[in-house]
Amino acid sequence: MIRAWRVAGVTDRIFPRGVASAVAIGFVAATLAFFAALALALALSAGRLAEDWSGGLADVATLHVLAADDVVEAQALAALDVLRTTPGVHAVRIIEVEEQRALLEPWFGSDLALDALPMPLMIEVLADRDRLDRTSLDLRLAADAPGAVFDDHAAWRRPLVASAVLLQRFAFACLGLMALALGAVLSLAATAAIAANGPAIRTLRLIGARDSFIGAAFRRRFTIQTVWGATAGTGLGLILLAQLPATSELGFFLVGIGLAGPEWLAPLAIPPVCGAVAWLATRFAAGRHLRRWS
Amino acid sequence: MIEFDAASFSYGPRAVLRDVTLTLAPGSFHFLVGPSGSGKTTFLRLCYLDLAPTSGAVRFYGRDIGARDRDAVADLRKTIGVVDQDCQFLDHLALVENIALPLHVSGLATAARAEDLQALLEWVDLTARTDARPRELSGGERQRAALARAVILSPEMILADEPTGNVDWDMALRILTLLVELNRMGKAVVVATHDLNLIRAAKARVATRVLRLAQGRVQLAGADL
Repeated sequence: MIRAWRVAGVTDRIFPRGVASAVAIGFVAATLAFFAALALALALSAGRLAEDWSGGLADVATLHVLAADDVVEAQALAALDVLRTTPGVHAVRIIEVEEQRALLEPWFGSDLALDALPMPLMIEVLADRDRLDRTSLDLRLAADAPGAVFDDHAAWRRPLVASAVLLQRFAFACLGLMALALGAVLSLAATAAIAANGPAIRTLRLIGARDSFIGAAFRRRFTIQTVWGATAGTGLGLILLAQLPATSELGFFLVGIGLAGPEWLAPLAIPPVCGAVAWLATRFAAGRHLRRWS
Repeated sequence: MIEFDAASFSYGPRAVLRDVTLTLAPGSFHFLVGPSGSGKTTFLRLCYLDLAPTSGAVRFYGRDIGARDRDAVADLRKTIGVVDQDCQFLDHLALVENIALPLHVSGLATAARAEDLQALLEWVDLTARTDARPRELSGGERQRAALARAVILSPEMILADEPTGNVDWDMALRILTLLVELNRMGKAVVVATHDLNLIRAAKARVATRVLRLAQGRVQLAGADL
């Protein structure tokens, strides 16, 4: 036992371990880390969707040819000619009836009688937005294929991009607020712990302990408890996120609110960030309180 | 070593010490006597800067360390071993861990030798109680443990506040013997006590000065002690 005094960890046991406070801090850290994982997933997926809608998807347009049966094919061919000779258009492709059925299936079900609907003939257009002269294209289409309407999806894409960007900002704001909340909780916990350990602190000061030594004991403890809690919470959040359907399963991009590819690595930063917040919050709270408490 | 220069201290309107001017030299042995409430503990707390004088100055090796410089105060306390009245320990740690605590506080725990700690425990006759918690110790054991903790960093000065207050005469003599041994090793010792028999027993072994505190003033006591 004579060597026990030197065993590593005596410094960490200088203040008695409060099981209740450790559980409370761990639980708070776990809860906030859980929500942080979800908020991070929301931020990343919102960013990804905004990029898709303003980037890749923005290069895809659709040409609808709605005309009487006897002229629709002629107008479609004329429209194809116009598109193929338009600068900025990379590729054009007629969307087959089966593809149209697949697109409508999520809304109307699999028993859809497509023949009974006044479906336009649809042409998918891959174009470079920056090089495409919409005014010129519209004029040429109006002359050669009056039943054709060029739709670059801007009408629904713009509000979606704006929503995704706002959603991303909201998610990042949530992450910041969670970090502040964690810092505030730990500041209070550190202050309460210092108040509760007054006699021990007086004894330590009597033998020459600096405030930095006393503060470090609280800092280490709270940081470790926070990191453990945050690890559990993040793990739980990742399990939940893994249950979300993948984007491709339904072929519908709105379900892509989750993590994809390397994004799965991002939540691994949550426990260390929580630890850093705990370290800083405890450092400032303990420093301030110990200066006042004498 | 410690120099009081017209130092006064008041708790609010009540003046406890008035214009105290004296020097506690290295290697000296002082007793501090006086009735309860005469300011003995206050005097000692001024010595280890637990309190700052309300006027005048208390200098350490010629330096006036302001109580606001907390790190300097902490470092100073590493050179002064304090055995306070309550013998405060960390109750959740074993006795040996409590005694070794100043080594951790000073960052010397890894460099210190277990043999030295063993020798220290033998010196205060506590080798059989290393695993005990402070609450399990008798009054005498607590006093000796506090003394062991006070000297583990080999301080220049030992300040003891009523170290024999709660022990029988035999134990008081054992504690006194330890203090005298420390003094013979060159440490300055200041003992606040109201036990005149203890002072007489000390005078038979070592050269001491007795400071009497009365009405806030410090006087050198005469041969009546």
